[in-house]
Amino acid sequence: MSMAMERTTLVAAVTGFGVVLLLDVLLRRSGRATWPAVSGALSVILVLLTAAVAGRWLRESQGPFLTLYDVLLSNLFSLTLVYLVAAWLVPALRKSSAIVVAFLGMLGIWSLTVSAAAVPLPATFDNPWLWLHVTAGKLFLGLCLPAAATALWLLVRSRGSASQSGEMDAAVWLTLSLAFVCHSFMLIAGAIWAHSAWGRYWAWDSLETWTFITWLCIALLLHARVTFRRMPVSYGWSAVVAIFGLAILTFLGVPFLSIAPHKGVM
Amino acid sequence: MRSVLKTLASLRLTMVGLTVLIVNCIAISQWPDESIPWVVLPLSLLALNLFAALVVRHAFRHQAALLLFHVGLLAVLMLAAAGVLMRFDGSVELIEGESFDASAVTARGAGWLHPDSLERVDFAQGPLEVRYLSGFQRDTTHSRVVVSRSNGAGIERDIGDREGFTSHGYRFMTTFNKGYSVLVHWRDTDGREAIGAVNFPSYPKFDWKQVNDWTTPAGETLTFELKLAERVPDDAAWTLSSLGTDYEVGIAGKGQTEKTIRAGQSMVVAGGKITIVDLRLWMGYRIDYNPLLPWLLTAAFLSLGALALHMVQKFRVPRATESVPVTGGEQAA
Repeated sequence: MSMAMERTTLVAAVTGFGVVLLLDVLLRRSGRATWPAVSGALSVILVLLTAAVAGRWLRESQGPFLTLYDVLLSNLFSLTLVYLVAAWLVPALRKSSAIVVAFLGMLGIWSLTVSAAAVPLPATFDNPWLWLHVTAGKLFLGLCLPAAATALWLLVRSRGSASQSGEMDAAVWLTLSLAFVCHSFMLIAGAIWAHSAWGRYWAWDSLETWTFITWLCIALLLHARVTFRRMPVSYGWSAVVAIFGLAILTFLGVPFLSIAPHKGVM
Repeated sequence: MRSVLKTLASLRLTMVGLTVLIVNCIAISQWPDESIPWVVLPLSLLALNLFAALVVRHAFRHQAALLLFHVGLLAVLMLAAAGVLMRFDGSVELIEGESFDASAVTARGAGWLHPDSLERVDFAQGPLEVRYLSGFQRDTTHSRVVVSRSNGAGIERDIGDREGFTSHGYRFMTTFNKGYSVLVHWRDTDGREAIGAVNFPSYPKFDWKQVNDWTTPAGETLTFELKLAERVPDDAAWTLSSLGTDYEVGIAGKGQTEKTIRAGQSMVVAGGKITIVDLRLWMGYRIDYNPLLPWLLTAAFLSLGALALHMVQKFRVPRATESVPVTGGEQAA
């Protein structure tokens, strides 16, 4: 796939997010079920994103790990895929689809504004642990997104029945807990890869430090939930949204702002 | 004693420890060189808190996976701390044909309990080759070394980028830091001879500054400048190697006019004569030592597996037909 074809496919996918968002809002207003149409349209977008990622991968002979464009493109793919699977398995996550799609649309628009030029992958990065590290990171972010979107939906519109809110609340903590497991694996796989690539498993560089801070924040929130059982539910939801914000800043901001070895490496 | 343990096992203390650790990690993101003092106190507090909780908290007894996760976490903390005390981190530059000399190692950090046994490491540097893609993008590094085993036999290894070698617990990894070196033969007026080497700055990073000083056995400081006949192409792939490289060396004493000579040519200087013998490459190695890493990895994976199992046990997937009630202002369990 040529670069022009890849860009056209990405533009189509980003436009698709706009269409899905509009569809979601219109169906909600008319009181009809949104999920069949939204999941169908998201599946078509996922096919487009898969084509863009695979085409780029085949053309450049390397995975999308290095540049901001690589990271945005691969995250659009992984976030869409993980959301579709998670919402298929946990129906309570479907309610917040508009928030998820709006976020993906914004990420898509961002990806169209950055340089798509490829940068060769250093030889030290050719390591299976990098694959596992990145996959775990994408799963973490992919699970954090529906957790945060559902928490935000609950914060803004929790006027439904108590049972519906209960299902959604349980879904928030389920996805956040699974995200925590993926985050832990990402840290371990990353340490093994760093030891191989740079001769140390931990060096407190900017990305490592902020990733660890994100892990600690989730650990703190999970402990707070047990410690302060009478804490209003909205506090926990707000914290989940804040943690997702921190994770996005850590994954999509820190690597491209720091001058550490992790710069541009995801 | 039990009441003290109960106080130490408090979840509120866990919250305090985690909060202090988060704040200190934010401080580390600003001052990364001072990381250890920032984390020692909160991590020690959390380790103590966790140990006490493992002893007195009944919740752990009914949740084996959660217990295993926390035991694993405590082991990770202990092993990481012990690893810091035993570690060694250093670097050394070796020229093609040169044998490793522990006294040439620059130590960047060594723990109090590091059993200094670098002298036992014995290997020799063989040919080096670094391949580049167009646009000065470093591709693969190939460093051939001959590592001596305890029975005296040597084993040849081709290392680089992803693969180093380990000898007596010390792992040697190639780095991006490498360059040219000129071997110089020295003969003084009394006929005494010596061989020296002038390592030039990292190449091609400092291709515009291939200059270094060398002090002769007679005490005169000379400035050497490596003059390569060809510039490396920035629009094509190329290989950094000492073989077949056409070069000259400009040599000047302090305040003197530079004289340029080639391999095999000599130059008379104060107290003797120098002859350019050969052009070689040098490689910068990173050396690290941490005998607890396999145990740390095992503890980390054990802990992770237990955490995953605990989460699977804890959460049932909520189906549309099920509902989890929310009571008042409290959260669903």
